[in-house]
Amino acid sequence: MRDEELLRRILHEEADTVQPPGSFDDVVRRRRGGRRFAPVAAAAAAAALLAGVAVLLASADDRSQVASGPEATADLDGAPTTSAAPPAHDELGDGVWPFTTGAEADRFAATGSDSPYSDPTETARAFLESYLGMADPDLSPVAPGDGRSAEVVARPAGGGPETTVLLRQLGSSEVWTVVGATTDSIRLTSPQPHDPITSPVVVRGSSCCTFEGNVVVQVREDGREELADHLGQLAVIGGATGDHAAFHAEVPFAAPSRRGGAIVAFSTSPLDGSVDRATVVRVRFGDGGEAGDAPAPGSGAPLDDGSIVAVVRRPGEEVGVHALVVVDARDGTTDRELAVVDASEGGILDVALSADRRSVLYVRSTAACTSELRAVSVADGTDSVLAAPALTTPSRLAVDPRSGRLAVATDDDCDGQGELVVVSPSGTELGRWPDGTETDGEALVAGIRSLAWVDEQTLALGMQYEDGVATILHDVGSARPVGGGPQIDPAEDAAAYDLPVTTDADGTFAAVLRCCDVGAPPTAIVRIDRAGAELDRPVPTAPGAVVALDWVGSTPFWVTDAGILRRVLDGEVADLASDVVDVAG
Amino acid sequence: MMAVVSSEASHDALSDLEALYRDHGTELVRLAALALGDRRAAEDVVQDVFTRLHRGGLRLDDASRVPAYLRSAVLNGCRSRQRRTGAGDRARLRLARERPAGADVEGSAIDASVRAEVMAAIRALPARQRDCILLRYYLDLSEAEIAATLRIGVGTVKSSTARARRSLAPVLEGVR
Repeated sequence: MRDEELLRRILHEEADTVQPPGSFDDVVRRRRGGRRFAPVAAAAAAAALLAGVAVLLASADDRSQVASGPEATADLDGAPTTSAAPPAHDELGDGVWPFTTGAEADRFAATGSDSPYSDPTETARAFLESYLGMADPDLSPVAPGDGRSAEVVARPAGGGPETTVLLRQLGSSEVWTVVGATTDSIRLTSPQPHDPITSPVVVRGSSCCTFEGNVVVQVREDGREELADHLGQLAVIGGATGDHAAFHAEVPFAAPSRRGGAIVAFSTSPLDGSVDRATVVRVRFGDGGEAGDAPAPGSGAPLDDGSIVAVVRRPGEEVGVHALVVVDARDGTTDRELAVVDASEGGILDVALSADRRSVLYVRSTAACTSELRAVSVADGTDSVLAAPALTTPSRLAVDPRSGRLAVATDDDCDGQGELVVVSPSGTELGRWPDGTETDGEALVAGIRSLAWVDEQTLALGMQYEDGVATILHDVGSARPVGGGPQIDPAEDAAAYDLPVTTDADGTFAAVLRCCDVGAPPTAIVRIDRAGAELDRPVPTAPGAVVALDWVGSTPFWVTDAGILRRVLDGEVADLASDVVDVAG
Repeated sequence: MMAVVSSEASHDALSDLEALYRDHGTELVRLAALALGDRRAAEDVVQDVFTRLHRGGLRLDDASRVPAYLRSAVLNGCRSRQRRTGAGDRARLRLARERPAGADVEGSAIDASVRAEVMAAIRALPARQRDCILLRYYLDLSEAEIAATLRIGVGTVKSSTARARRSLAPVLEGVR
C-alpha cells in the first residue's frame, strides 16, 4: 500500500473514532472542567454568537442593520437584549453570580431557558464549581430564609471546612442568585458588602486553619466567570492552626469594565490545589478605580543568591495549577510561594527575575490568545499586572540584569508569530520588531521560544521555525542578526542545538544539544560563542530532554521534560525538585 | 443609538448558524482531534473559533470562503493550544528519542496501537507540515485549496507536504 493511501486510511479511521459533537448549544454550553451548567454569561455569549455569526455572514445591506457600539445581540428566543453592556451606576445590584440585578434575573427567567437557577442548591453548586473552582463539593440541604433567600452549606469533596453560600431571588422571578459566601475560617472586616473600592483596595480580616496559613485575596468584577479571571490578587498569611490570625493587605487591581464585583478570599487544599473554602463579599468600584499601577519592582528585600524561582505544577481540576515558588538552590526545598495560577489556559508561560532581584516577572496566560505580564514582590507577595501598553499578549520575557531592560516576545493572534518588544525599566518602548522573516516572498514562520540578554544591546533568541530551530543573536540597536548558532533541521541532523537558549552570568549564551538518532549520546548543555561555535559543555551529559534552563553564576539549572529540576553539584547531576515546568535564577 | 438585531433577523441568524455548525461541526472537531489527539480539547478549540468569529467582527462577503476560514481558524487554534501547553514540544522531544515499533495490519482495519503510533508521529510534525498532511489526506483538499486555507504558497504546500511525508516514512514503513 502506498504511503498516501495508508495515510488516508489511518486518518479516516482515526477520525471515525471521534464521535460527532452535539448540537451547537451543547458545545457552547459545555464548560471547561465538566461543570454541569452554563452560567448566564455563557448562554448570553451563545446567543450573541448565534446572532453575530449569521449577521456577519449576511450581505453588506443586511449588515447595515447592525450598528457598532455595545454588544448588539439577541437572546435565545430572538428577543433583543444588550446583555454585555455594563449596568448603569444606579443598576448596581446585590448579586454576585450569575445575576447582578433583579432585572437581569427577570430577563433570563423570561426566556424560559432550562437552567439550574430555579433551584438554590444547584445554583450554589454551579457557583462553587464555576466561580470559585471548587471541585465537586458536597452540599447540605438548603436552609430556607425569608422565602426569597436561602443558605447552602458546602464542603470540599471528601470533607473539609464549611463554606456557606448565601442566595436570594432578586427581582420578581423565581431564579436564584448568589449574593455572597462566608466561611468561619476566613473573616473579612474590610471592605464590607457594597463598599466602594479603588485600587489598591485595603483588605483586612483574619483567618485560621488554612494550609500553611495561606489565604488568597482576589478582586473580581461582574461577568468574569473563572477563578483565574480576576483583576488582581494577593496572597496573605493568616493563622495555620485553630487560632485566628489577623491579616492586612493592599491589593492593586486593574481597571474594571463593570461597576460591580466582589472580593474573594479563599484557601486551597494541600491535596489537590483546588479551592477548599471561601468568603465572598459584594463590592462596587468607586470613582477613581483606575488600573492598578504595578507595584514598583524594587521594594522590599531582594531574593538572596542562594535561591532560585521555579514554576511548579500542582494537581487540581483538569490540568491543575502553576505555583510560583522560591526554591533553595542548594537542596531544592521550597522556601515560600509567591503566586498560584490556574493552568487550564496555559498557566505561567515564562518567568524571570527583575534586575534587582526584588520582583519576579511572569507571563500568565489568561485565555486563548490572551496573556498578561505580572510582577510579584519577592518580599511580600504583592502581585499585579504590569500594564505597559507595549506589552500586550506577552509570551516570553527576559530581563537584562545590567540595564534592567525588558525584552518581551508577544503574540497577539496565537499563530506562533508576533513581535519582539524591548522596553526600558520605566516602561518606555525602545524597539519593536516582527519575529518572522521573509524569504522568496513567503513568510518563513518563526516564533521566539526563548530569549536572553547577552549584553545591553544584544539578545540571544531561540527561534522555532517550521522546519527546526535556530539560536541567533539580535542587535536591538540595528535590529539585525549579529551571529548565533546555525539553523538546524532536527529531521536531518543527527545532533541539533535546541531550545531553550539562555545566558550565563558572563553573557555567554548557551543552548541545549540534543541528538535525534537512537544510540546517540544524551542531551548536553553547551555554551556557544557569537560566531556559533561551541565553547564548552558545562553539562556534557544531561539525562532527559531540557525544556527550561537558567543560570546562577556559572551553575546551570534546568528542567527536564519529566518535570525534574536539576543542577550540577560537586561535579554530579543532582535532582532538586519534581513537577517543575520552568526555572529562573 | 444602539441598534439590535430584530427578532426576525435573529431567528434567521439562528437558522444560519445551526446550518453552519451542522455542515461543518463534525469535520472541524474531528480535524482538531486529529491534530491534538484530544476530543475535549478539540471541542474547546472549535468553540473558541466560533466565539472569536463573533467577537472579532469577521467579515465574510463570500460564503464559499467560510469552510476555508473555519478550517484555518481551527488549525491555528490547535497550534495555539499546543504552544500554550507545550504539547508539541513534548511530542517532538519524545519522537526524537523513540523509534517506531513494528506494526500489524489485520483485515480492513489498521491495528489501533499502530494507528496511534502514526498519529503521534503526525502530531509531532512541525505545525505547518502537520496541517498540510491533515488537509491533504483527511479532507482531500487540493494543493491550491490547502494553500488558500493556510494562506501560504502552493510551493510551500508542496515542500511542507514532502518534508512531512519524508519524516513519516519510517513510521509508515513499519506499518506495512
